[in-house]
Amino acid sequence: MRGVLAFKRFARSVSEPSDQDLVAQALAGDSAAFAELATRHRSRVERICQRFFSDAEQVRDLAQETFIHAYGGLKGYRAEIPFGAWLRAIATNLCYDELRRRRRRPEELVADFSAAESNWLGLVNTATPEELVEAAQERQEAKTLADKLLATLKPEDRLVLTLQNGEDMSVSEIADIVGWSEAKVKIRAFRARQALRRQAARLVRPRKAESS
Amino acid sequence: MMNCFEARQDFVGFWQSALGDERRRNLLAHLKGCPKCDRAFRAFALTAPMLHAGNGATAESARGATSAGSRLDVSHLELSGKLEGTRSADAHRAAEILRRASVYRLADRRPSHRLRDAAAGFSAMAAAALLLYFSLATPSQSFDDLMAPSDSISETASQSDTNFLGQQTAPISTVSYDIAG
Repeated sequence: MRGVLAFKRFARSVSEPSDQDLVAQALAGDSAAFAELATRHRSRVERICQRFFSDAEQVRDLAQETFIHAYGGLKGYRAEIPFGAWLRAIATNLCYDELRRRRRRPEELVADFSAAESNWLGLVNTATPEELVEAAQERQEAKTLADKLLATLKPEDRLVLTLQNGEDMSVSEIADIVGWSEAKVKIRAFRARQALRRQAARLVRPRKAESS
Repeated sequence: MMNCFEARQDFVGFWQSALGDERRRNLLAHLKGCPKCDRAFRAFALTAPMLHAGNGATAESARGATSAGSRLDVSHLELSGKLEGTRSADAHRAAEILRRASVYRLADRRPSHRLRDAAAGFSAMAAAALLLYFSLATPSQSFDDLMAPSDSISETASQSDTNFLGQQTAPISTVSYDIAG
């Protein structure tokens, strides 16, 4: 089975042109080549945008803008960088710009919780630590509530945490994409985590110590 | 007994079920007796699904994408918050390519929005102008016309109060309002 898959992959790699070939063809004026590139990388670009925004239309618009920017800057693309990484950098920067444009205010947060998220918040305030760990694994609302907390942060904090935790990028990769120094990325990530925990702490009720 | 610093160091390990039995017991005992750490853990639990959730596929693809290790230079794209800054001819051409390829069926930069907004504004202005015209236009009847007794008015006025649809009814004054009879 694994051999068949490997053969299929090999056959595809032989029959299909590489990204670099398609870029060269697009630069020579072949619009079908650029369309092929867009089709190939669409899902990855959209996934990056989804890390920042939940609205499907917004995600689609940003992904589309990514390809439009890529087309405009195709002449400046250097072949030693994978085309996917180059697109990812464009998508990330566009998402960052959009975050800066429409920052959410923290006071909107609680009013925006769905019933399931409020339920999860109730559980966080009442369940034992072991129950919490188990429950978080199977509850999607735990993730959506965490995303809403993230949405209350400053755009640069949100950017760093999303790339670091959502896309699992290293400090140097983030520094490359956003054009900051590695030290700045580290400091920003540290402050972003603190800010996120502060926001979360506002939702947790203080409790009295239990006598054991 | 664990102190608060040690306890908080173990939050991630506990969340990922990576703590040994003894450390786990110590942490739970500490959380039970320390309201501050208990609150910190609950706040941690709210953020952990985002901060400490592994995503293997994403990580793999992300690493693969930058395997060349080269610095990414996207400065030539002028990505400084100006989506409209892209050269418009290229942008329209790219949108057209994407639309034709059905990558994005509505892949245009929505040029129709301006036209639609202008049409809506024009309609609103026209409606307002008509409303203003009819509210300020000269009345079709003069004041004297209105004051002169017309036939229909005099007929109505001359009808007896006791004549209702051709039948004689009791005059209002004869109706007793005494409920008790």
